[in-house]
Amino acid sequence: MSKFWLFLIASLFLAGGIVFAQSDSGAKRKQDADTIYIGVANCAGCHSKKSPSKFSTEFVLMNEYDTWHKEDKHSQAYEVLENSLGKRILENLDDPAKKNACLNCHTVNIPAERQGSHFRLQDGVSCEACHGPAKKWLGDHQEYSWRLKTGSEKAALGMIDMRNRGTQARLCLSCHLGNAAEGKILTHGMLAAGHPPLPGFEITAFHQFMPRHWRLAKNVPFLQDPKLDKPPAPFKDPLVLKKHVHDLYQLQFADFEQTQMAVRNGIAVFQTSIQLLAEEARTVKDQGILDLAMFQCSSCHHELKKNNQPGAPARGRPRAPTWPAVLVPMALRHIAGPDQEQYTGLAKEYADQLRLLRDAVLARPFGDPRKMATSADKLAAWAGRIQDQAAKTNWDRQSARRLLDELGVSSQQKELDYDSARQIAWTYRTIQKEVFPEEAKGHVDVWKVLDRDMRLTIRPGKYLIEEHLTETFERIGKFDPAAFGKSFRGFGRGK
Amino acid sequence: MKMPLLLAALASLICCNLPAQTGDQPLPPPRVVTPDFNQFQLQGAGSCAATACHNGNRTPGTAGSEYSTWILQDKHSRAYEVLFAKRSKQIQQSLLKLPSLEKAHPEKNRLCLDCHVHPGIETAPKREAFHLQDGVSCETCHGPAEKWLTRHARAEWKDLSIAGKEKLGMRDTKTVTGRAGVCVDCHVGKPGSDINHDLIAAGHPRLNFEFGAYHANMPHHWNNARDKDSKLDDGRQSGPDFEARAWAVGQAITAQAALKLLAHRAGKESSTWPEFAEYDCFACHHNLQGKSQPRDRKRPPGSYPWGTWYFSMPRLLARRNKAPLSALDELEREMSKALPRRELVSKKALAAEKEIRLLVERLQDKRSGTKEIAALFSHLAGDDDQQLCWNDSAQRYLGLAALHNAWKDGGNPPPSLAPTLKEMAEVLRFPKGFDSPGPGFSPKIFRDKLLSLKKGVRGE
Repeated sequence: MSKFWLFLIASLFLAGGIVFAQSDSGAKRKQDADTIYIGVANCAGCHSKKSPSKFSTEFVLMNEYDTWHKEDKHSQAYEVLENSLGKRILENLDDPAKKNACLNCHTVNIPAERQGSHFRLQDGVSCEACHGPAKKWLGDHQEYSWRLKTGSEKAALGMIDMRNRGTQARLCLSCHLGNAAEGKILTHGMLAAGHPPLPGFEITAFHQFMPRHWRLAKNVPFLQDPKLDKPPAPFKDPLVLKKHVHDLYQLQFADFEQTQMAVRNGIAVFQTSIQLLAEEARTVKDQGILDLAMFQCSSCHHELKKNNQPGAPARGRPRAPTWPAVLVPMALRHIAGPDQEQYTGLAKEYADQLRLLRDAVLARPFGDPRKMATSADKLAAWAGRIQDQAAKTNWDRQSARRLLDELGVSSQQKELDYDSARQIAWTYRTIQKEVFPEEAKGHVDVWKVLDRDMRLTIRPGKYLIEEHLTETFERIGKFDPAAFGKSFRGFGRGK
Repeated sequence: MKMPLLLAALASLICCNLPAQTGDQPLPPPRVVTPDFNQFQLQGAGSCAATACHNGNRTPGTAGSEYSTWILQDKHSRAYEVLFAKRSKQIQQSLLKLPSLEKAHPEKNRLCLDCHVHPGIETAPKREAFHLQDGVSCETCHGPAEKWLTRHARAEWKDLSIAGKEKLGMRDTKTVTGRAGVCVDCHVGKPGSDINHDLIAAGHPRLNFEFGAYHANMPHHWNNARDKDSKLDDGRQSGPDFEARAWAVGQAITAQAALKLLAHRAGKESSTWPEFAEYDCFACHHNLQGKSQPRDRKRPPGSYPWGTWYFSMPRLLARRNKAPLSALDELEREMSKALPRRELVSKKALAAEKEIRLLVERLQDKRSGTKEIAALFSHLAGDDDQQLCWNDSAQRYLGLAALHNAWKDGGNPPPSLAPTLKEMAEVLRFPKGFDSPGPGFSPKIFRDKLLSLKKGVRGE
C-alpha cells in the first residue's frame, strides 16, 4: 500500500480554492453590503484585562484583545507593509495599484462606506477579519443566551461560525493558501519582488504559533458545567440545557478536538488548493497561463546538479504543489475506518481523479488551463464530499491510532518535500499529544530531532518573519526525506 | 558550460603570438549560396583515411594528419559511441517514458542521429562504406564527397573558388562565416534537431555554444597559423585579427541560427510552448534564498529573462556597428511574457534574423587593427551599469578572452589582463558537482573583475 501512495503523492500537483462557501458567495456579498465593521477599539472595551469588564471568564477568556495585540502577528499585518521589506516589495512591483492586492490579506480590506468610526485599516488582521462584521451582533453577543445559539443563527447576524471546523479552516486558508474570489492571491511577481513564500499550513500548529486566544472545549468551565442565572425559556431545566450545550459544542468529541481539527483541515487544505487551481485555470482559459505561483516552487527553483539520476516522468514541466495533498490518504483511512474495502474504493476514486488533473498539468509547460479547470473542479467537488463524510465520522482512540498509522506510512515516501513532511509531523504530533500523551513523552528524543530539522515549534509572538528567512531557506535546502523517514521510524511505525 | 573549455580558451590565447600586423585587403563577398548538401552521397570517413592522404598520423594539426587528429583527439569521432552509454539510454527512457532501460535505443533514434552522426542521416544517400560508428565525421562538416573525393586530390582543385567547390558538395570551412555556419546546425539546433527543455530535463546537456571558444578548443586538424596569416590568398579571410573576427562573426551566426530555431519553435503548433530552453536557465534554476538580489530593472519581477546567452553580445556588436536591433527588442519584450504569442514571436524572430544578417555582413567584411581590438576589449570590459547575469557574464568573458587572443596576435596587451581573465574564469566556474553557479558568482563580483580589466587597459 505504501508504494501506492508513494506513486500518488509523488505524481501529485495541486494548489487550491474555497470549499463550501462558494455557492452562496453571491448572496453573501449582497448581505455584506449593509454590514459594518466597527473596529478593534469596540472589542477592546470588554475583551481586555485592562477593561473594567463585568463579564465572567467561564465561557471565553475576555483577554483576547491583549493576546492579539501583544503576541499575535496578525496585529502587525498592516504595519509590515510599511517596514523596509514591505516598502522594497512595493517598490519592486512598480505599480501602486498592487498595494490593494496586499491589503486583501494584510488587513480587513473593506470599502470606506462599511468602515465604522473606530475602524482602522492599520489594525491589520483584526477581530472582525475572522469573527465577521460586528455592528449587528455587538449588542446581542453580550447576552449570556448568545452562547446557546447555533452557528448559523449567529452567522445570520454576520458572526462567522469559527467553531465550525470547515468554516474555520476555510477562513484561515483564504489568506494562508489563497482565494481568487476575494482577491487574495500571492502571485509569482510578488514573490519575486521579495514576499516570503507561504509555508505549508497545518491549523493546529499555527494556532499554537498565533498563539491561541481561546481555550479548547474541554477547558471551558461553562461547557463542562453549563449554568446560567436566567436561562431562556426552553432551557430552564438544567438537563435540557446541558444536553443542548453538549450537542451544540459536540462535547462527545471534546477529547479529540485537535485531532478532528487537524484531519478536517487536512481535507480543507487539499480542497482549497484544488479549487484555487480550478479558479485560476478558468480565469486564464486558452488566452494565457496560470500564475507561476500556482506551481510547486521547487519544480524550477533548484540548483542544477551534475549526474542527477533521470527519474520521475515528465521532468521539465512544472508540477502543482504537493504538500496540500499529503494528508488526504490519512483522511480517507479515517473515513473508511477498519473497512479495508471502502478504503480501497476511496483510494481508487482519488487516484483516478488525480491522474486526470496530473495529465492536464503536465500536458504542456504550466498546464492546459481548460483541462485543468475541468479536472480540478471534479476533484474539488470530490474533496467536498470527503469533507462532508469526515464531519459525520466517529472520533475515538482506535480511529486516532489508524490516523497515526497512516501518517507513518506517508512519512516514508522517497520524494517527500519539506512542507509535506512538516504537515505529516505536525499532524502526528497533534494527535499523539492529544490522544496518546504517554507515547509523546516516550518519544521526546524523536521530536527533538524532527524539531531541529524542520522547526516544528515556531516561537509565538510578534517579530518579523523576514529576519528568519535566510535560516529558513537554508533549512529547507538541507532537508533530506530519507533522514526524515528514518527519524519517523523512531515512533515504531511506518514500515 | 564546461569550465575547462573556458580555461582552455584562455590557455590557447597565451600560446599564440604572431607578429603584429594589420591588413586592409578586401575580403571575398559573403557566402550566400547554401546548396542542399545531402543531394550528394556520403562516402564515409574511411575514404579520407589513407595514410598518404589524411591519416598520416604525424603531429596533430599538420597537413596530411587530419583524420588522425580527428580520430585520436576530437570528441566528434565519439559522437555515435556515446549514444550507447547508460546515460544516453536514461535520457531516452525519461523523455519517452519508457518502462525500462532495455527499451531505450538512442542509437536508432532519428533525433539523436541527426546530430550524433549527420544531419538527415536517415534519408541521406550513403555508400555502404559509410558507418554510423564514425560519429560526426569528415563529410558532416566538409560536405558529402561523392563528387569531389577524387577531384580534390588533384592540383587544379586549388584553383576552384569556394562557390565552385560548394557546387560539387564541398562545404565552405575556409571562411569564418562558413565554419560557424557548419557548427550551428547541431550546436544551436535547427528545425527537427532541437534540444528543447524536455530533452534537457530528461538529462541531455544544455547547449550553450560560443563559436570563438569552441573553435579555439576543438583539436585543430588544420594549421592554425594559416588562419592568422594575412598573406594567404585562398579566400579564408585570414589575418592577425582572426580570433576577434571569429568571435564576432560566430556570435552573429549563432544568433541567426537561434532566431531561426525560435521562429520554428513558436510557429509549430504541436511543439512545446512556452519553450523554457529559450530562457536563462539560472533565472529559475537557483536555490531560493532569504536575501534577495537587487533586481533587474528592465523587466517586471518574476518575468522571464530571454536570450541572455545568444543575444547579449550580438546586441553589443550591433550597437557598435550601427546595425538595426528593433525587431530583436520587440521580440525580447514578447518573450519576457509568461505566455508569448506564438504567431508574433515567429514573425518577429524572422525579422530579427534579417537584422542579424546585416550584422554578419558588416562583421565579416571588417578588418580590425590592434587599436580597434583594444577599443572593443575596453567596451566589453564595461560600458554600462546593467546587472549581468551568469550568461551575460560568461559571454562577456568569452568575448574578452577571444579579443585578448587577437590583441596578442597583433600586438602587446598590458600584462595585467591575462591574470584577471583567469580570475574571471574562476568566478564563473560552477561548484563541484553542480551545473549551475554557486555563491562564488554574483553580478557584483564579476563587475569588479570587469573594472580591474578596464583599469588594466588604461595602464592603471
